[in-house]
Amino acid sequence: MKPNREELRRQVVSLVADALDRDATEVSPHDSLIDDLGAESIDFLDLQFRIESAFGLKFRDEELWRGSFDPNDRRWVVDGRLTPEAVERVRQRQPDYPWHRFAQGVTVADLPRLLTVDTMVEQLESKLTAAEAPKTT
Amino acid sequence: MVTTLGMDRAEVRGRLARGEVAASRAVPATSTVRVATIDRFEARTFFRQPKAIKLTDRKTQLAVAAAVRAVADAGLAEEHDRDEWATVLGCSASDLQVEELAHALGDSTPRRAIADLGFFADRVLGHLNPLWLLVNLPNMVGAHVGIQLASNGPNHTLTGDWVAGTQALGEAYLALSAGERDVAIAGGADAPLDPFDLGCLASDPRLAGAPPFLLAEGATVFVLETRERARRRGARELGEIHGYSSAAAMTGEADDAIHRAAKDALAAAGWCAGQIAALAPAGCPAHPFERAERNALRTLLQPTNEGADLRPADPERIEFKGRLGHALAASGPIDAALLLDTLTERTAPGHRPARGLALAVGTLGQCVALAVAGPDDMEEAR
Repeated sequence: MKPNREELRRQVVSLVADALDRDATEVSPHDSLIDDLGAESIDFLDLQFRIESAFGLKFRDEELWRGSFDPNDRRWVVDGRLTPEAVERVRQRQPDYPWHRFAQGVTVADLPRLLTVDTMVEQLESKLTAAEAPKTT
Repeated sequence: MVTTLGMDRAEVRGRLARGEVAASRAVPATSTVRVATIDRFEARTFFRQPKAIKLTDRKTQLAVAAAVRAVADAGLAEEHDRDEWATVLGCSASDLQVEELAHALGDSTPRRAIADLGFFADRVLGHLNPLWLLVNLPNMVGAHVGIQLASNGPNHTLTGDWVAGTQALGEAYLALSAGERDVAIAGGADAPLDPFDLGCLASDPRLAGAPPFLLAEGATVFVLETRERARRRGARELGEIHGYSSAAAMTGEADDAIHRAAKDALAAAGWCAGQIAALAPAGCPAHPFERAERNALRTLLQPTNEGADLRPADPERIEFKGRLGHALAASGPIDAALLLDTLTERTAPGHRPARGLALAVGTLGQCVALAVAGPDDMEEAR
């Protein structure tokens, strides 16, 4: 049976702490993996592997890191910057994120900085829910 | 210096002087190999970026520890302009992390993993941490030492079997002698206590019937500097390398190759065998080429007319692998450090010139020799 959100969060915090050489008490669910926890590109590979191993599933491509919208969709991104609607959409998903970091707006290049423990938990929860759903023919 | 009997030269020397032997344990299913490990080693102490530890295996951690200590001991911890520092490390590259591969392959038959590329790729790519390759790339020892020390000059990892550490010292010495660089971080590291190493040694027919081979982990790293640079900054000098040579017995006799390496290193130093006050042989109980080395040294040291008056009766032997364990590519630099200490002690007037020879011999008959001198010899050179 799929663990509840809090249990998932606790487990992901533990995996993030191990991968980024931190004590679990230093990792907050709203911390930016990059800005607050010092994750680098190689750590994202490691994190995905740890989560897949721990929960016995496989993520396709960028599935674990997927955001609230497709950055290639011109409805959400203009000249490399998120539209106000896109920013609002992300803010609704991550109300506890320290948005003052993006006082000048959010560019596509900034998107990885928005990844947090909770964004991973959300994707993981969706994946586990889908895995539990009965298959229809 | 990171060894089974301590983490600095004074401690190791003291414990060896007291007759201590590294604690070792038997290896299941074989009587030909025992293993000695380094207890209470905490890699985190030596990494300025601890997150990098997950990208390192044990030998790389030992190498970083030895390198950080060497730089501090050399009084260079505060020298921050390191763009010209060379890094030359040696490791046997034999400690393949087979447990993780075996786990990734699961319970499949080895034949299927070999014959079915798709199956192999799925298992390995799907069940092996993508960082595994970064941990196991052969050049990671030198790379991580360079990263942790911010040593940004040429960076090399030599993987010439058991001789690689001594080879690293020799190659760094040649680079300095040629004026390519004036500082090099050089030495060797190994942690060959995984099933792959143990299995290879345990099944080596040359060890059958011999006393158990004491396999160990360890690392020793030196800061090599040109004489001019070291003296300009008032460095505390431990000794000098005067000659280096290597030879191999790929198709010939090991006795001959070892003899050639030793003779050529002495010739490069401009010394004759009779001037050797101390000698660090490669061999140890159960070393596959121990007898060949004995023969080679007998030839090297046999009386000749030339220089006969300088020939000592028998150079002091620095032979501690039977007590520290054989740390493969790290053993040569460990021996070299202990040899230099012995030579340093021979500084009193009237003693024989403090010159020594360090040898390393690999499993296929690769041979490396370093001609080194203690500080009193350097006084003569000034």
